[in-house]
Amino acid sequence: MWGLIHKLGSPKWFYYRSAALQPWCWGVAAALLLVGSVWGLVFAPADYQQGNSFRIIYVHVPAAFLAQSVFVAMAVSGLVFMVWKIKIADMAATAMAPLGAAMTFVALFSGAVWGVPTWGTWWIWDARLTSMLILLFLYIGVIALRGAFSRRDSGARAASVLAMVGVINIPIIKYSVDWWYTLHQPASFTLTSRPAMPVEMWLPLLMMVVGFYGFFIALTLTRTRSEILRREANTRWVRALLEEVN
Amino acid sequence: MVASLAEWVSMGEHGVYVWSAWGITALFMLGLTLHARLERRQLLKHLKRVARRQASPPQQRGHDDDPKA
Amino acid sequence: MTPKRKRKLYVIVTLVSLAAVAVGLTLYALRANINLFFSPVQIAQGEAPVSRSIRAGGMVKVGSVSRDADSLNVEFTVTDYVGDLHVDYQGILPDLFREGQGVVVVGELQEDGRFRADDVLARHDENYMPPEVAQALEEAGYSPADFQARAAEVRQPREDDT
Repeated sequence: MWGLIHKLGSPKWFYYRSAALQPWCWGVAAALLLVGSVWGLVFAPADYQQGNSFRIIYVHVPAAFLAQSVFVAMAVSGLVFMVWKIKIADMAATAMAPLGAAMTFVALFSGAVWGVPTWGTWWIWDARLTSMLILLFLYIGVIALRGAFSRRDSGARAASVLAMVGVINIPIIKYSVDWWYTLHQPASFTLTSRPAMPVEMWLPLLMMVVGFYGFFIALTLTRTRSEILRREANTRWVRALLEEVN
Repeated sequence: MVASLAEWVSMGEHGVYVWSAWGITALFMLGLTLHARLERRQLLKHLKRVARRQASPPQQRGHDDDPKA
Repeated sequence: MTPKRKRKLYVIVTLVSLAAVAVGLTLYALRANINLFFSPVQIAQGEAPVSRSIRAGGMVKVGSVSRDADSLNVEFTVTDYVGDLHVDYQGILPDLFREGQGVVVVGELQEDGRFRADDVLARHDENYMPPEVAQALEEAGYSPADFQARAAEVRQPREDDT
């Protein structure tokens, strides 16, 4: 058990192991996103009430899922980094933060654009929308904190703490539509209950969700590998590797 | 299914909403992908330059190449 | 001030303002117990203030919508299947405004218990289906509105604990 953790925590081991995995992740993500997009935009039926604006669901829901999952992943990485001092956890957290912020923005933007034809407003201060906006500020805070310290270790610790504290917001986002009256409707896509739409609408959504997660894994792998090289630049194995690449 | 291309693009009056939402999403995902590639390429170039400089006589080794930057 | 201290100051200022914004937004949303709107039964029990801008929400009662032929005046009833709220509105209704569909109205509660709305927002539910399925449901004896209302009823345990 300890051996595995140490291996996983070793940047060198991770760097070489992920090399083979990475192109597969990119390939699978690209294929799923491509097929899911064409399916969702062309072949999936329009909704009987919303018409074609329903197709926004195929980017809105996966982006909102990622926005929350990335933050949880960041908080877990922060915990691992703080408790076990495993540096690679912090490298991964650094690598994934911009993606999470981007996905939060995408979820907010696509939701606002969707709200205009469906609700009759692009924004309302209900619990779901507000807690999602707070998530965006938390992401910006984590990214800014990390960059604000001259010592990398201090920045990493501060960012980890904020991620761990800020993760409180995630259940609030998730359950806001059940706990309070909101303009936002409850979830249509869950893993635990029967989907609230027929298969020909649901399957492309599933593909997009899995594709977004694949994209998350692929991007995080690539960026973590860059981060490893950056931070381990002075080690013998990175120098040897650089000569090899030449 | 859709009948014609023009009809598909217009999305039955909802074209603006659908395409702007999808467009922003695609823009961000492509941007993040390209950024990750560029980041890696530039980093490798930078690290190689530093390695070369350190391999050559260490007469004037600057501190300008902080790898964190 | 040394650059290091300056940077620290920036950090603190940024953090404090971020926290302030976050807390401020939370409080803003918390105004009315975080609930976006009052339900008709809450209003019937006198929980909502009169003559102050509030929101009320529920289902548009089937058969309750009556439009004035000469103006944009509309009257309808919002229901949570327990209490009813009569709403007067003048203006254009959103596309998704339908009988049996969820709605949030923004406006003031009048002394006589009627609600004068300045704004009507359609509240969509989480069910989606293609037009053909909706039609098939209709032909089988359900109206899509019935179907939606039934789905909402089944899915609303929170109505019971308020």
